[in-house]
Amino acid sequence: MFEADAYMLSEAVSISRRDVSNITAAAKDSKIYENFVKLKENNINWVHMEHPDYPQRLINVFDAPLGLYCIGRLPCDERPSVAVVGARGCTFYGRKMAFELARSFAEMGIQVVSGLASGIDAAAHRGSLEAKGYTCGVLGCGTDICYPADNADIYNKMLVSGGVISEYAPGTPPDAWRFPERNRIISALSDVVIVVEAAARSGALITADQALEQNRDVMAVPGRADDRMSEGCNKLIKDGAMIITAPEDIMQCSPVSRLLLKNKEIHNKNFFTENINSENTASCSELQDRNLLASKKNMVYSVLGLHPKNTDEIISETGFDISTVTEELLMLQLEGDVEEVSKNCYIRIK
Amino acid sequence: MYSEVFSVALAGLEACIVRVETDSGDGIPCFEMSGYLAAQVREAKERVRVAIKNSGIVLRPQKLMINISPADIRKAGTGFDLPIAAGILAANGHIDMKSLESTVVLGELSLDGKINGIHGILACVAEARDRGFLRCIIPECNLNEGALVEGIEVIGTSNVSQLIGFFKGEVELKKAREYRGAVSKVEHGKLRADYDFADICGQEAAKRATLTAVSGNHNIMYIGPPGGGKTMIAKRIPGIMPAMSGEEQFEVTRIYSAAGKLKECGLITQRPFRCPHHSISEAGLLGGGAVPAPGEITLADKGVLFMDEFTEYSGTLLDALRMPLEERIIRIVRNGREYIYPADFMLVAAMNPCRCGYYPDRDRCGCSDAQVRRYLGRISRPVRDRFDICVHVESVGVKAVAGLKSETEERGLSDLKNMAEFGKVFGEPDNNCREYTSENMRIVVNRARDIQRQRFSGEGIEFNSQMSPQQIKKYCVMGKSERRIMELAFDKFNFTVRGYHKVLKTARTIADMEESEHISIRHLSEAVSYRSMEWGDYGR
Repeated sequence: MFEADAYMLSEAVSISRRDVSNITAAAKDSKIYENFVKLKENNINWVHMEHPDYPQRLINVFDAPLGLYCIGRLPCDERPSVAVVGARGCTFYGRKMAFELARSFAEMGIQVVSGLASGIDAAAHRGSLEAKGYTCGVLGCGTDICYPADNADIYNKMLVSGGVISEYAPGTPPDAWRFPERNRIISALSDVVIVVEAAARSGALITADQALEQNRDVMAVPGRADDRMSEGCNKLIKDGAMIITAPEDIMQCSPVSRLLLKNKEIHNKNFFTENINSENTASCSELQDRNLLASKKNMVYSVLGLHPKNTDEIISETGFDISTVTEELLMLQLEGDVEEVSKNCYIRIK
Repeated sequence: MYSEVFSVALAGLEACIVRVETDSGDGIPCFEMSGYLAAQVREAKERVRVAIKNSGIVLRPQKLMINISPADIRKAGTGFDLPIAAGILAANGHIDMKSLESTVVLGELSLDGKINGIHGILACVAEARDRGFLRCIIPECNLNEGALVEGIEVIGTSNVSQLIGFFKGEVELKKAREYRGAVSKVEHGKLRADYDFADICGQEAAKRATLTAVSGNHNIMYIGPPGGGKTMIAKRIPGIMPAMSGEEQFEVTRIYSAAGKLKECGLITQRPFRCPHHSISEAGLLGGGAVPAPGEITLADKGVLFMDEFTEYSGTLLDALRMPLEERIIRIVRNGREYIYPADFMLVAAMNPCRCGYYPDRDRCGCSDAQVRRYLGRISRPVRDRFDICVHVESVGVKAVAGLKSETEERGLSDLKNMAEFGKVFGEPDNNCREYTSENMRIVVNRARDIQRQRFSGEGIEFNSQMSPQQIKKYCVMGKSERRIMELAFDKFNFTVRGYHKVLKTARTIADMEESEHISIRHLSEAVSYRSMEWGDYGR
């Protein structure tokens, strides 16, 4: 198109005069060079469809982006990759599940793809980063913009040890309509999409829909039947999505297990069984630990879950007086078993 | 002729004896006044002239000159009407000048010669007594207030002709002594009966925290969803505070009297409970005006200042609270003069954890984590640091309310389980006061405060919440294991030194409530659970 002259362009249908001048301006060597330098200065790579680095997974998708901007690395085609998506305003349960799943995936050698939004997305990235795995975020704005700004810490980490990807040019602002569009890239870049927590009308469900269109598997983390934040997930399960409650459930998804096994052959390293074993032994010994805990502490611990409970609820459920409860809670917090997520509201974290 | 009448000028809460000098001379008839007078005092001229005329006294045309001395103190208020009238009458020979010696006169005049009540009588009469005056003539309707001051003869008068008659010895006026008996009985224990902690269902943790806060006079913050009972709890706080001493009652009454907020009750015996709306201005909260009127913090002196919807107050307003909270007084400078008002109150704040109020209940709260942090961020860290105790108040479900009701209704022999619980509540060696009624709580508070008073006698403070770091070191002695726990907690919760001290102060109070000399781990852990959280930790 850049080779066409102004006359040819103006003859073409549906190209206005302004478009023509824009095209000719953009076609100037200096302009192209300027943009190129800007990208290089910001360490942003650009890969087009024919580029060898362009993710193979995307090529098979009918509405694949023509090119991708990327800081850091793009996901590797040889290794399994999983999308973990969900609500922004998530519960502690969702955050915890996303974090733990992503961390285990990273340990297994699975790449975690998500959208760098707050809530579930951020928790998934954090989990993967914690286990030093590869994780990439697909943005709905330019790769040079961290949106939401709250996620600056993970964004910065991902620039170094993961990847930040976008189909939009640097400087593109985060407009609401771009996010559903970028969801198709999240699902396309992964072998399976895991929805952790989604309300009845959630962006995560759009990702799940697109995953099905792109012939990807969809898994969902179940929630309580009356939980508003799990309505979407439960509906996905009703419609036939696979249930995932533990990291090893990911093996039910054949592309992931196939790639994992292939990797095992290549690297001659048993990611999977090793991990599962260590997971199992860890949880076993933890269980034993729990039984050995002093009974009062055990009781306080046992009434807690991933849904926050306040002091009054703990008192009424255990029947202890307030100083006993606060004492046991302090001990549990100091040992790192329990966390106070909001004033006097506690969850268990182990 | 020349005459002198004594009166009192009130500036803020402070009274000052002034002399009303009147000179009536020959010349072109006129009425001049001087002595740094406010508009209300200048207007006295017309009221006095007409009131004297309507009292049936005819003054010859004369040149009247009035000066109120000392002339460098600003005089405001309407209390100068009567002394000016008395001065004019004395200068014209209607009142014997001798009878005005060592007498203070106060009162506002109506055009028909009636004498109306004025503000700040208590402070004025007390000042007159302190300055050695023997007699104080005040409006009759202020007599119940004036009667509170002992050691001076307080006389009430209702109109000008009565006053003239009194000075001539023809009329007997009402003396305060006759009032005194009646006054002290007024309004005793009314608030307490209306608001009892027994009315609140559930909320054990919040009640316990409240008890702790009152025991050590700590500021307390309630966080929770709307409709959780934060306001209910706060309203009941004055009821569990110990009764005010005579001195405190006098101080509070004096403030209300000067602010013109004293109703018919005479002496105020209830601790004040002030809950200003969050749209209040800085002047309204701290005190303001040309001669500053006492603000809410001064009106809450010796009582409770309850700030509901704490996040809705403007940030500058909350930050302005910091100094009075530390110093327990407020200094206001106006027109080159410094006014010092007491502001010794317990601050009680209530707020929601987010805009919708339901965080962390995600079924109801749709606020993003950033929104929650932004909402909480309206309370600056220094302000948050002023709260030793911060507690979550969850809304009690319908079940709990209904359950409690049925328990009291059906607490019969048939229900064995209820009986067992009943026994557990009352059978225990009652240190913790499991049943939270205002009466039980007041016992604990009194006990804890007695211990503190003994401990701090000679230290210049009264409560655990006022301890300085040195005093904390001296009085909050911990064992080895306690210190170990606190070290762990210090790292785990990223305490600041101030935060660490706050926990120790609170733990000291909890130990005092249980009459325990040593601070044990259970006291510390409870105090840790009351610490105010870092807003930034929400939703991480």
